[in-house]
Amino acid sequence: MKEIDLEPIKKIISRSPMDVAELKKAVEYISRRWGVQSAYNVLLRSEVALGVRKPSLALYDHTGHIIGGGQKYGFTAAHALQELFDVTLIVNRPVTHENIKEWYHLDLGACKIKIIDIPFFNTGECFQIDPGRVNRRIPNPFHIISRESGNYDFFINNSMNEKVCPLSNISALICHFPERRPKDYFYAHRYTYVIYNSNYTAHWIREKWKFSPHCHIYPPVDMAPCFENDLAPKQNIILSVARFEAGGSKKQQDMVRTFIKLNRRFPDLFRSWTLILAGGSPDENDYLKSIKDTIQKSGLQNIDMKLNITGDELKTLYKKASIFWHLCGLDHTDPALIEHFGMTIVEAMQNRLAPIVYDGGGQREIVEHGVSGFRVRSTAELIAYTLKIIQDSALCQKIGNQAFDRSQCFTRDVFEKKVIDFFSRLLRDYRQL
Amino acid sequence: MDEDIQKEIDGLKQEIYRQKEQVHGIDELLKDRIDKDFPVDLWELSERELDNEMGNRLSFLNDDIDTRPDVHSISSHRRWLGKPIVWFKRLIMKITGFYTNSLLEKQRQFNAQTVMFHLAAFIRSRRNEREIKELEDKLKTLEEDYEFVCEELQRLKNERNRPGTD
Repeated sequence: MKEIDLEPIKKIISRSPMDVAELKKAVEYISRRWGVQSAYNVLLRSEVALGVRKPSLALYDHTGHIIGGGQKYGFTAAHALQELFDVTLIVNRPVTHENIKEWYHLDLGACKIKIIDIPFFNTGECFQIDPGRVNRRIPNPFHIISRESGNYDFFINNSMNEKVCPLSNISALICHFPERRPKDYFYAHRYTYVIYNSNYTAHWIREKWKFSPHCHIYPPVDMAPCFENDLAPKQNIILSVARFEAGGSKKQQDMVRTFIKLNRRFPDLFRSWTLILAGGSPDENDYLKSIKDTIQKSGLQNIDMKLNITGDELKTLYKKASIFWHLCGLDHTDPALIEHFGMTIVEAMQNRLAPIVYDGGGQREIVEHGVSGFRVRSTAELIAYTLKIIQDSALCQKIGNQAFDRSQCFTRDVFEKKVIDFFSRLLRDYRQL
Repeated sequence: MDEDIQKEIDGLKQEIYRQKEQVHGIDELLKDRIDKDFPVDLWELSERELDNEMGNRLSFLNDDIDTRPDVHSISSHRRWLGKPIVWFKRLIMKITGFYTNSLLEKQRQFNAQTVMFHLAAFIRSRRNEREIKELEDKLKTLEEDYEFVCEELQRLKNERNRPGTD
C-alpha cells in the first residue's frame, strides 16, 4: 500500500469532541487521491486507534483443507494471535474447527472460518488449487481473495501464494520456500512483511525474488512425549519419516540400498537392526513400487515399510527408534527439492533419536554436526557415521540427548512467543496511527 | 467515546465500503497499476523450472497459431453509437478479409508447423532425459553389485589365505 500522511487524521481523531464531518472530508480526499481502498483502510485504522473495536486479522491458506507442515505453521500462528486479534481463517475448501483440532491439536475456537470459493478451480481439470496454473492470459482468480484482504486491519498469507495482492493496512506473506519466480500476477513485494521459516528459504527469496525478507520464525514442532517416563527403552531401529514422493526426492531408495550394503558388509552387527521407512503415499506410486522391488530382491527381512500410519503410531515409532535417517536433497541440484527446513528431523530429535541427515538446505540449521547429530554428503558418509553410532551405544545416547536439547529451539512455545512478539510490536505502532 | 460519534464513523465506514464494492478492478481501488512485467532470465532457471517454462511457452504458442482476426473481437461499450460502429468495423473487416486472409492463412500454416516441430523436440528431449535417468539408475546398481562382488572376493581370498586352511 502507498504511504499516506496520516498526521491530519491523527489530529482530527485526537480532538475532543471529534468532528466527524472533518474526518469525512479527509477520508473523501484520500479516496480521490489514493483510491477508495486507502480511504477504507484509514477508517479501519482510526477505529483501532480510538479503541472502538479489537483489531481484525485474516489468515489465508489455499491449502488449509489439507494436512501439512506449512498449514500447521499458519494455524499455530492463528492460535497464538487469537487473543490479540479478532481472527478470521480464510480457506477455499471446507475445513472445520474440529478438523484443525484433530490434525494439529490446536483449539481455534476464538477464530472464525470463512470459506471463499474460487470458481476457476472448480472445473474437472483444475480441481486442485494450484497458483502455478494462473497466468496473464486469464483474469487472476485469486483477486477475490485480494479484495477480501482489504476488509481487515492485518492480512497474513500463509500459503506462498504470491498471486494474492494484499490490500489491508498491514500484510505479511509467510514463505516456506519461493516456489515460483516473479512472473504473471506476482505481488510478494507488495506485502509489508515477508516471514520466512529458515535461512535457506531466506537465501532463495533473495536469489529468486530479488529482495530480502523481514522476519525469521522457525516452524513449530511438538512431537515430544508428554512425560519423560513416556520414553520407552530404545530399540535397534533406524527410522526414516518422509512422504514417498513420486519423484523420489526424499531418497528412501538410497536409504534402502545403503542399509542392504551395511547388512552385506556387517551381517553379524546388522542382524539385530531394523530399518523402518514411515511415510504417506498414494496407492499408485511407481517410486514406492521400486523400493518394494529392491527390498524383495535383497531378501532381507529387517526392512519394514509403514505407509499412511496414524499420528499415534508414528509417536510410538519415534519412542522406540534409536537413529534417524533423512537424506532429502542428496544428489539434487534443484533447490526446491532440498529440505527447506525438516520438521520430521526435529520430531525425531524431540524423541532423543540420533539424527544422521543430508548436509544441505534447512537441515544445516537444525543439526550441529558432531554435537546434536551428524550431517552427511554421500551414502558412504552415511555408512561411516551409522557404524560409528551403532558400535558405540554411549555415543548414540549422548547424541540423542544433545539432539533433544537442540530440538527445544523449535518447539511450539518458542514459535508462538516469536509470533506474539512480532505482531504485538506491529500492533503497538498501528494503534498509534 | 461518544456513542453518536461512533455511529457516525460506522455510517461513514459503511458508505466507503459500499463504494469499494462498486469498484470493479484492484487498480482502480488503489489508483495504482499493480501488475508489472518481470523479465525471465532463462539461464537462472533450474532443470525443473526450465521444463515448466518450455511447457508453458509451447502452450501459449499453440493458442496463438491462428492470427486471423475474429469478428467477435470487435465490440463497443458505447450505449447508442456502439451498434453502428461495430457493424461498420465488421463490414470493413469482411471486405478486406478477402485480401488479408490468403496471406494470414499461410502464416497460420507456418505457425502450426513451428509449434509441431517444437513439440516434437520437447517430447524427444523428455524421452532422452528419462532414458538417461534409467541408465544412471542401472549404472548405480551395477556399481553396487560390482562393489559387493569385490568385497565377497576379498572375503573368500582372506578365508583361503587364513593359516590352517588348505
